[in-house]
Amino acid sequence: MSITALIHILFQLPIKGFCGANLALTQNWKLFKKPHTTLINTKLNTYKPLAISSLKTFANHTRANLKDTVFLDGNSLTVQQVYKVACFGVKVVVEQNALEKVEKCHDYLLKALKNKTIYGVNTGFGSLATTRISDSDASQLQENMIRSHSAAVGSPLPKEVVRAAMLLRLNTLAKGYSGVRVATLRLLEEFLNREITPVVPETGSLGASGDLAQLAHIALAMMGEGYVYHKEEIVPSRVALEREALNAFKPAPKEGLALVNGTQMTVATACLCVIRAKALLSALEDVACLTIEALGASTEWLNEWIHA
Amino acid sequence: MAQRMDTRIRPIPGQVAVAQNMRRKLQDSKAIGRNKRVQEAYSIRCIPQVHGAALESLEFCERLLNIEINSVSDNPLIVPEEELILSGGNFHAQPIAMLLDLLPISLTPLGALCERRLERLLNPAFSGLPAYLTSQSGLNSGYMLAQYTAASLVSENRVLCHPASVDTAIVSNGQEDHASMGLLAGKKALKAIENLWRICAIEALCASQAVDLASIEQKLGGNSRALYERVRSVAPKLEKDQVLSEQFEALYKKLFEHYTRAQAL
Repeated sequence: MSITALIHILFQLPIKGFCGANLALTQNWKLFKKPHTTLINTKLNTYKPLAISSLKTFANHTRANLKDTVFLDGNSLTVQQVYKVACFGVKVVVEQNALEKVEKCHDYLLKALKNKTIYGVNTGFGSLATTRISDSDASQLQENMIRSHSAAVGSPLPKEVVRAAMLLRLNTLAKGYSGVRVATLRLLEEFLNREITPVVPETGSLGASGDLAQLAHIALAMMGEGYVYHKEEIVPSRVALEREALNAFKPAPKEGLALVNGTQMTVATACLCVIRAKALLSALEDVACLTIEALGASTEWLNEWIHA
Repeated sequence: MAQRMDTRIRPIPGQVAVAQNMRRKLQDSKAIGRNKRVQEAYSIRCIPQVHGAALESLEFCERLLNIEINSVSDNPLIVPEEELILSGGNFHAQPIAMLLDLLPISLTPLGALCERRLERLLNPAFSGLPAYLTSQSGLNSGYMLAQYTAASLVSENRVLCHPASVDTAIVSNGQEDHASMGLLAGKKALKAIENLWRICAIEALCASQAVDLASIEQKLGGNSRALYERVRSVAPKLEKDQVLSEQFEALYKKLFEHYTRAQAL
């Protein structure tokens, strides 16, 4: 372990142990790397601190963070990074400047809500858009929507597909055009980093308005309902939230819609497909070469003149 | 070299890249050119063209995806900069559904090539080796069924090439009257790629057995030798008939792990 890495860990220990603020480890690391960065606004961190079950787990967590955390700002995510987070458990952190944008957007939404009719925020959904919903029912509307849209059936989608979808939704929310609270991004971030993966049935999406049902199952798990994989084990979502000392999501206006309306489950499969297909092409080249050698085939057809 | 650039025989970048890779992978081989055929079969001779086409598709998909994963697919959009709240349709997955339909179509021909090369490994008329790569053909069936399994996987992939993105649905009392079927396309593409990894493993296993029976292990180039050793680390040489399923699955997992890790990390 490098000296810098050791310093990082020492730097993080007291913060984790004594401050009780839910500062993501890598945020601290970033602060340490860039001492002039503005301090993280603690009001953005509304969740309880990470319960550290053992020093070993903590050390692993830390090491993974230092090595290759993916930083999200809504603009710079790559397909390869999606694969790393989805399949190899790499940690994620939303950049501070993105969170500030998210907060501004949420504030504007609350202001606009007072004098505008906004689809899915103070109206019903789909063809029910003509029904006006009263301000006092705005949160209930989102909660109802998440439950009623959790209508997918069949075998669970692979964990890595669901992880990729959560990451992709987190990144799109980080752009700051959805009107959600920072706390909602934080909870998605925690789901990824603590390996809480909603159990999402595979069938029911039409691919417009996005993958409504599948994404609703993710939002449902955030509310502490339905089932999740907690690491390898399937448990009721409520149990995983309790174990990780996380508060269940209680949607603010628009937040159900903002989590559910999108292409992320489809795009998740596409990201996994592209990396696996690229790896496959490289494997198939190697295998074809082995066959060519086993058969003692000629290689005239590879001549540079043919392929230029 | 300048003259070559001028003649430009067929400069499709994917094809050029695959040919370049394969020349490099075979450059130190002492095993090639033993069969003295005038021309190789298409399943060998046309690898750069067929793999190259797949590579082109993949690059198209990745370029589009890198845009999509940094986009907002929400509705309505809240734009605080201009104090706007806008209803649009960015949740529509059509561009991604179409690229997901393209993936199995681009890759299924590669599996078909594998299956044809398997024939050349298993058929003594082409390989000059014992039928089905077993020492006592007749009493032993060797890798006879390897081709059946591979052919079955190729066939399944052809079915998975049926496009989803041309389908649609009309829901929500007619308000939402077009859909992309993107996730259906995605599930098909994931399955097709998984099938291809299995086909890939089966060819690797049979090619390794052919290397052993032809006693050319020492003549292999470095790249093929590494693959041969990776194969043999999970599946030893087949001496007499045994259950093949477990070998196929173990090697599929080994190769998938190794190559995806190298690709992603």
